[in-house]
Amino acid sequence: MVPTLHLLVLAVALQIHAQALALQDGLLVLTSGDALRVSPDLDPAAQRQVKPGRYVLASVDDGGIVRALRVADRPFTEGVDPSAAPASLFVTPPHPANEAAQDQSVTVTLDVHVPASTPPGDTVYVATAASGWNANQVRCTQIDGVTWRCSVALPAGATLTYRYTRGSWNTAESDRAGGQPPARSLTARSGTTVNDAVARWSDQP
Amino acid sequence: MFESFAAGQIALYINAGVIEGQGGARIDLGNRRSAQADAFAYDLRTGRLVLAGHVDLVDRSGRTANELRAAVVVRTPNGTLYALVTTPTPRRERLDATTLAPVDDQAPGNAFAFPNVSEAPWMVADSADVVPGTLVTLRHATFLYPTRGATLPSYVYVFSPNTYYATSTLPYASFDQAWPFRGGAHALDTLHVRYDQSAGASLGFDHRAVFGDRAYALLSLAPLTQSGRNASFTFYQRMSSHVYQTFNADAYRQGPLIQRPDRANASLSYAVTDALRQSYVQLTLNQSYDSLVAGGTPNHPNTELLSWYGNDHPLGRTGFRYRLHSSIGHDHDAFGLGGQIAPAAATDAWVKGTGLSLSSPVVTLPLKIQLSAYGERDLSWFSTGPGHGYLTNDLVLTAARHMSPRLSAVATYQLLEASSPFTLFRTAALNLTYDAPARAQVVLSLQHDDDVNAVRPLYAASIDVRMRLARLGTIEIGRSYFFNFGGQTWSPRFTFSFLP
Repeated sequence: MVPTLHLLVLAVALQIHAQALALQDGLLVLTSGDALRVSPDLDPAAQRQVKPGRYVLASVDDGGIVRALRVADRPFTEGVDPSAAPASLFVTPPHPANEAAQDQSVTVTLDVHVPASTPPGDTVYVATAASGWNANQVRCTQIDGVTWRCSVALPAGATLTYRYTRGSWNTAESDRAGGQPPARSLTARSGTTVNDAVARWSDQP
Repeated sequence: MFESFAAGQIALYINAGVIEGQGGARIDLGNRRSAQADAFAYDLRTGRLVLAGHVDLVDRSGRTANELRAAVVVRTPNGTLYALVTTPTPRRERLDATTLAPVDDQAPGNAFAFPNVSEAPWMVADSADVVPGTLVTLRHATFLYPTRGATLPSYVYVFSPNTYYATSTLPYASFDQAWPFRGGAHALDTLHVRYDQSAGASLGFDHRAVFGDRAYALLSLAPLTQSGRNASFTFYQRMSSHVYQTFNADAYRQGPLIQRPDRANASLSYAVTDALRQSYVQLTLNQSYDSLVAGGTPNHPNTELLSWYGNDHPLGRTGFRYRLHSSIGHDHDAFGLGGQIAPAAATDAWVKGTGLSLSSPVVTLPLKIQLSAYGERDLSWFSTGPGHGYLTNDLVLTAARHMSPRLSAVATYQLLEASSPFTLFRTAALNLTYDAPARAQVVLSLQHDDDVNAVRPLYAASIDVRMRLARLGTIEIGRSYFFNFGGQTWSPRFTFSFLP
């Protein structure tokens, strides 16, 4: 047993952490667009755990063969990213370096100027398409008599489609002529602060 | 056009806007094209589709593109198809969108990213029909939010940026859980399970028809399960960039469903609006039917009103802003106008109105207190009755202070007086808001009302708590205490809602 372990340790050149897409035809296919050849001796239990979207830590030998595999629902911190591994390890042809994945959550701040006629005691909300247009999805905080501040958390790079309400669609924002305007839209980036203005409320002329 | 998805289990991730299917996925891509894979992930908002594991594509002739042996196929938001092929040699290919045949090997590596969903699924289902860019209908759907619930025959999740899918005319309820159960490219049917302490538990229904971003029609029925029922129909149409029209019809019926109603009435209204450069004009026509029951008063008063509303304008360089409006209209009631117009026997009256509102700039006082004021004065003249003129004054003062980034206080004072019917109330309120970490918020309100008509409690204290629970979404609970207002201590209404 000990000599086998010793041989395995010697054989493994690199550990690569990545998100898996498939294990098929003896290949471990990664979301980076790369594929690694899998050893026929690889633990069948580990192979069965590979599902699209799950994370893998692949121990690869000098020939680019996956000798051991760990699978989890969260990204591994050990090992290197496929972009940092030698291109010769992969069976797929090299490709230009990928852009860094933007999967972190960011908070977007919306400062909205509301009509001075907004009834005192009412609360301003943000309704988003993501919530199926729930009229009171995000509650805002009053800054002064005509300004409210709303914080919306969403993935970086995601598009936020939204409208302001006072808690229901009977009290949603309207355009300058009292009509129903199209939804507002922005792309989420870290530290984004947007200044909006509500021209009128639909229940107020 | 639908795209249909089926798999061993399909999960909806509502914040990420992704449906993900695992186990024997079958996808109908429309135009007689289909695919099979071990799994799929579909970004509802962009239309990007990832098919992963033993992917078979079937083209329009029904032929399986066996020679591909693809491990992954990705369809980008603009319709480009990329495949990662495993045999005979592993490679990345770009596919022809029609024939599904390989075109070249110009597939970028990062085309194959799988959606990173870090949240728990909101719902699981057996299959899903997607109307691209609009909604998804999940079949045999089970809520996992706020806890694993009953399985519904279908559930529609709307992700369209078109807010016409969200319009509602249902009256207020303390609790309203919507169940959108049927949807299509232009329609959505929703059942509402509602509860209100004054009305009890009830069901409501609405049907929306959406005609792009130009028009919608909405039919609402509520409550369905009680003797007093409301039906409401609304049609809204944007006729051009500056003209829109709205038609409303409301009917109320009191009594057992299959017997003659005890009471029934209805109203119709139509408004057409034209936006001008710095203002808009609106013509409004209203017709009411006070009783639709034989033996009731056959009254059908009507009003016609032509209004002009100005936009906000700066008052020189003072920082103040003003807004003007005026109107002229005619009221008719064959049984006497009554109400605010005397003598009550008058059946016709011309009404003229004008109003001015003025708002101050926000001024920073010592202790970083932000002070602002708003005042409005409206005058109406009637062609009949003593004095002919009626006056409404409204004054609001607001002072706000942020003690810390998380704690803020807002104090308001409002004075409202109207000459007929005589109304005078003064309200002083203090709201304390605490924005806790992890998207929780607590609002404590104290309010004192001095109301000559005594329709408001003298003192009220309210608390409203909104919390984000990791797997459950957002929960909000609110309640008021009235300090013995006409025998009431706690308010008859509370708010309670779950949000995704």
